[in-house]
Amino acid sequence: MNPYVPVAFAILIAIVFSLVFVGLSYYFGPRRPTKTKTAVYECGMPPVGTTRQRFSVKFYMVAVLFLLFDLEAVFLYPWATQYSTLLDSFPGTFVLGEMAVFLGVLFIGWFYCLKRGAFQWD
Amino acid sequence: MFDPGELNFIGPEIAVFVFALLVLVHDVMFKQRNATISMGVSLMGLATAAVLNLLNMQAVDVPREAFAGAMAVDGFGFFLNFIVLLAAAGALLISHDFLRRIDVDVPEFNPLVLFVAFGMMLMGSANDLILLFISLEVMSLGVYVLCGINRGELASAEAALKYFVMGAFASGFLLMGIAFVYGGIGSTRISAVAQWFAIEGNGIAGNPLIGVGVALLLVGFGFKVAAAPFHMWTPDVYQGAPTPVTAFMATGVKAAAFAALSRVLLVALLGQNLEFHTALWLIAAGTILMGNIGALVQDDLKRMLAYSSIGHAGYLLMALVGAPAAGLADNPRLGGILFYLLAYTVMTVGAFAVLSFFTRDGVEDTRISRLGGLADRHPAVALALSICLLSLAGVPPTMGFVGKFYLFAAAIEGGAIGIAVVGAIGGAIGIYYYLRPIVVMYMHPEPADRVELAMNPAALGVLGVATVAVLVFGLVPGSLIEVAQDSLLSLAAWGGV
Amino acid sequence: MNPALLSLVPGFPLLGVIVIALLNRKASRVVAGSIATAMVALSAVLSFWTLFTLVGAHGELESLHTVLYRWIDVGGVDVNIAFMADPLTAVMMCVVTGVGSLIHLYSIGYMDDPADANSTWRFFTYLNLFVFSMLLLIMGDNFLVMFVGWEGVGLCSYLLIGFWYSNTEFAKAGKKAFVTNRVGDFSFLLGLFLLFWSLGEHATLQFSELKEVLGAHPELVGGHGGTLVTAICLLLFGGATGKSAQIPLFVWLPDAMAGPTPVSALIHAATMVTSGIYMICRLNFLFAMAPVAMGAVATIGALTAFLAATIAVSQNDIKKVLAYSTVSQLGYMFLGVGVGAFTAGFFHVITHAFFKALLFLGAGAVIHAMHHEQDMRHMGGLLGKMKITGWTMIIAWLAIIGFPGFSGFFSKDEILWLTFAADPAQVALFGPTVPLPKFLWGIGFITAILTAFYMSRLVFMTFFGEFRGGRHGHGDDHGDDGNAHAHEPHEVSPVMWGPLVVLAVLSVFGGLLNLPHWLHAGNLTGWLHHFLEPVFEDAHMRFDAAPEHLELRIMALTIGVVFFTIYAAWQMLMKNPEIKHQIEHFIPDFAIAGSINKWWVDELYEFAIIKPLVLGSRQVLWAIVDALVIDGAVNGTARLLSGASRAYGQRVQVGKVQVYALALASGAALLIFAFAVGS
Repeated sequence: MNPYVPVAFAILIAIVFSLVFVGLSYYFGPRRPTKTKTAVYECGMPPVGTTRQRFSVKFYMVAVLFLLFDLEAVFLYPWATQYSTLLDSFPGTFVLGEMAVFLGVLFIGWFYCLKRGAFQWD
Repeated sequence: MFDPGELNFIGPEIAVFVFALLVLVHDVMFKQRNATISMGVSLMGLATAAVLNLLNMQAVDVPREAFAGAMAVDGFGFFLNFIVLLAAAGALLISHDFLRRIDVDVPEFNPLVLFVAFGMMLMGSANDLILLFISLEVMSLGVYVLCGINRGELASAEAALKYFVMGAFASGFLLMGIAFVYGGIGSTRISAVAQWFAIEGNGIAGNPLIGVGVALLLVGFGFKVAAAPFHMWTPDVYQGAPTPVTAFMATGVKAAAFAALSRVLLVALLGQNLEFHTALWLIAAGTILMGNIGALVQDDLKRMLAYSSIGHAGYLLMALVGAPAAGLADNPRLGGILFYLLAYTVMTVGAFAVLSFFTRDGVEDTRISRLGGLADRHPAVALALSICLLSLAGVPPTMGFVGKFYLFAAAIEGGAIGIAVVGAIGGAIGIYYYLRPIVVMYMHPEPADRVELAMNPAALGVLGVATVAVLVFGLVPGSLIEVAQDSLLSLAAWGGV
Repeated sequence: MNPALLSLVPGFPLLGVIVIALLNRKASRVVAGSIATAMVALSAVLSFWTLFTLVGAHGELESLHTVLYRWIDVGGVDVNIAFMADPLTAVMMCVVTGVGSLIHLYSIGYMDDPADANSTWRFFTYLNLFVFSMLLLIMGDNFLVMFVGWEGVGLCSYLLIGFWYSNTEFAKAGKKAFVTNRVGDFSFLLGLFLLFWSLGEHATLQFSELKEVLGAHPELVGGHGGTLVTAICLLLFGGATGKSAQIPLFVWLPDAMAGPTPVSALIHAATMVTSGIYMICRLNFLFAMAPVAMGAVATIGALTAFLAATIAVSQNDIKKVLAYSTVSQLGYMFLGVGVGAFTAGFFHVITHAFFKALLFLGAGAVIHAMHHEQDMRHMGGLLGKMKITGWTMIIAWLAIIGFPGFSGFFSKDEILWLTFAADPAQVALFGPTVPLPKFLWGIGFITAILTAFYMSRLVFMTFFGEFRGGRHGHGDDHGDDGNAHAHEPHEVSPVMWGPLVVLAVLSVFGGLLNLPHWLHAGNLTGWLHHFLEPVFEDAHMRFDAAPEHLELRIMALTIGVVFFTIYAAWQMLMKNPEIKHQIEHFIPDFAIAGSINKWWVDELYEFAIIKPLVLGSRQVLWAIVDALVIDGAVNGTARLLSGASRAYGQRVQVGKVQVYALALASGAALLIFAFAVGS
């Protein structure tokens, strides 16, 4: 038998059980909705306006830029810790050079963002 | 372990990338960028890459791996690089005046085109499914942005969003497919997959994991090459995107995606193609019919070309259906795939160059009725467009005819007579809608509210070169066909059957 | 000479076509004409260079060969667009381009009618296209290129005959030529397929390879005299009867005179119509294997020569006479190649090109000077008014009737003598022992008399006696009223008489190419024969080695009869019309009416073939098959497809990403399911 069949069974059982119990509670649970009950819970405060608000694209920009430079660090750490090991199999200029290229490209990206005004909030 | 000399093999890619950075820096450095310098440097990058590619082509006789097997250095990749570089150059030249007219003055355009080209070139030589996926994403992300580069235009933004959503969806399938194949075989190396299959007893049959993986890969690639039923984004996106971008998508993206698909099907899965013969057959037939039938009643030339591009993907898939299980050498006509990709690039870029002339007050207007009276006003342009369209329709003596001839020959020689019949039906339908713009150009009067064509030397040059190439290689295809065949046969070096 | 230059020979006229077509109306008559002439002249220079290269090689260089490019290889057969020039080709190239450039030059002067001013560019485009096609036909090294040229010349001929297409009669003549030629082409294609099929794995389309294959494996086509090779040759000859106007397909050529006269000179006299003979010469090794087919060629040739001559004696339209004379002379050529005298037949092709082009151009000059009058009854005495045209025409007349010393004399007498001397076994239409050649010689001999008569009649009626003009020409469709005859006929411009003079010189001295051995002319004796020997030697044709005096006697007989005929014609037509009437009494009415009415061949075809065909296609094919079945199917399919297209666009491709994603996901689900279950 295919070794994955038990796994499939486990998944199946999990899905079935969860559906069954949600369904049961939905079926048996009494529901008497009022306006207050259906309102959005805001830590006890009465809600103000709709929750579907638009907010500035600048936040996305910051998030994206953060990701970018965060990942830079993610790449830098393993490189730094493994530097001496890498030297065993590669010439030093190459190991250093690779990272220089990487940082150089990233720098150009940073320069681009700077010039395009991505770092300016207004 | 690592030989810095291997960097030579990605020389063209490096060149394109470095020049892209240069252009990017130049474009943002000054308050008012110099569009001409930007264009010049970009083209220089493409030219440098072409030269390096040529040098590599001369230097590498026997296909070999590089970067620990992540990359395949073979004629197939070299040939694709040329197609990509041509497509990029064409798109850039068409865009030069076009962007100014639709009032899009952004520094990102040229660098993005170069980055996309960089991704495409890597895709063509990726020997590892992971590298393939990454390069595909490099390409795709750039193209998403390019589609929406005309942000003020609703259609452009819509195209970008649709393409992005659908593309992300399809990328998921591709990545999942890679994971499944890895799960089943234990490697993501395309050549390693081929060698695994070559072992007696190994195959898709009896390995549902690999089977599902292959199915998912087909979905992912099917989306990129616009194969039915994963093609539905094509008309909207092609029509909405600015014309130069559409030209680039129709040629470069299609070529790169097809190259990657061909590499997977003809290297990794060559011995197994009987297993998914029916599926591929149905996809190809559906693609041919969907594309050609859909194009029949389109009143917009750009949208018509979008549908026709689906049809052309179908013809290429048709040739792949005829791939021989016993080894590529059994069917050298498959080289028609590369030839056709090149031919399709040339003639499509030519046609889009003409389309780029049709703007009115900064808005594109590519309805077929706008072509009325073109033959009287600009006989040379009308003739050139006619030649490109006839080539797309596969009328001799054009490049399109020779290419199509080889695709059909490949299918028939591979025993896929049925799909060739479907292809012939599609081709017959195709002739009708390709002739329609020609009829309008030559026989209909000018529309009452005509606007001057925004002709410009760069796009005219592209059109001229494309037209001449279509005719010349239609009449004298011999040597080019041979190069294409040799390039395709270089795939046979990657083990497997 | 670099063989690659061969490609330029057809290249120049093609360039001319492109340039003139691009200039179209912007090119005036003189500009378009000059470009066209220059292009053909450049080709001519290269052609002569080719010829001299081959001559200079003294047989060490068999042929020049160049592959322009490799076309697609189909089914193991390499089909190249390749050109070849062996001695046969080289001579023909020189004739086509040489005579062609003279006629192009002449056309510049001829096409000066203001009514045509807007279409002369079309005329010269077609002319250049014709030369291009003709060069493909003769220079192709394989059947494919030859066939492209073969069809191309047919097309150009159609376009040029119908050049004045606003005249329905002329357009009809063009159509007739085209349809008749198609019948022949069909036969040619059948022959080609049969040949190709019979070769099996040795299949080749290349002439030189074909020769080798047949030399090594004659059994493939049934061996010498086999049924298969006979059928192939007869079918190929069927194609030749169409292109070269032989029985039964000769009817189009006289009608083809509707085209401008230079066209008649170039296409319908000097070059295109000889392509059938050229084809047989090119395939001599094949025809030599089929004595029955050779007999058919010779017999058809002789009969055509005779029949056309009998019609020519009674025609009054100057171009019609020349047209029938062309048919008749082509018959001689077929007689020559049919009995195996390939060189003689081909020699006549050359000399005929000179004097017949001259005759047509002269006739054109006369017609031009007479303002489109073509009826000889309204001419006469023109020698005084048109000295150059007149005298050059007289030279051509002497050449065609075989006046001793002129070019036609040598070529025609060689054909007649070799017909007389041919081995009956190689002309075995009715069996190897029947003395068919002697009989055919008889027909040729009588035809020579008729030729002398009708050509003398033409020259006497046109150039001698009293001018009978002054009537408004019925052939004049160019509008103006009686003023036309107010202009006296006068000599044409130098651009027109220049070519006449050159052609006249060639008509006189053309015989030098192949002097008969009894003249003991040293190196000049049989020069053409020796030059062409490499092409024809494998045919191994045999001729009776009769004593020289017999040959001379037969020749003397011909000359004597010809002289007598000229004298008789002079007496009959110019001195004593009485004699004419008396002679007419002796000839049966049936024969006279037959000659005048062209033996009712057109009527016969109309009644036996065209009417039933038209009727059948109208009543059956069109009404039922076409209107109901095909139209129904075509329209139905079109409606169905565009309906499907529209429905797809409106229902499915609605622009919603959700739908697209659904389609993608469904497709993916199907695929995954199929693979998961299937594997």
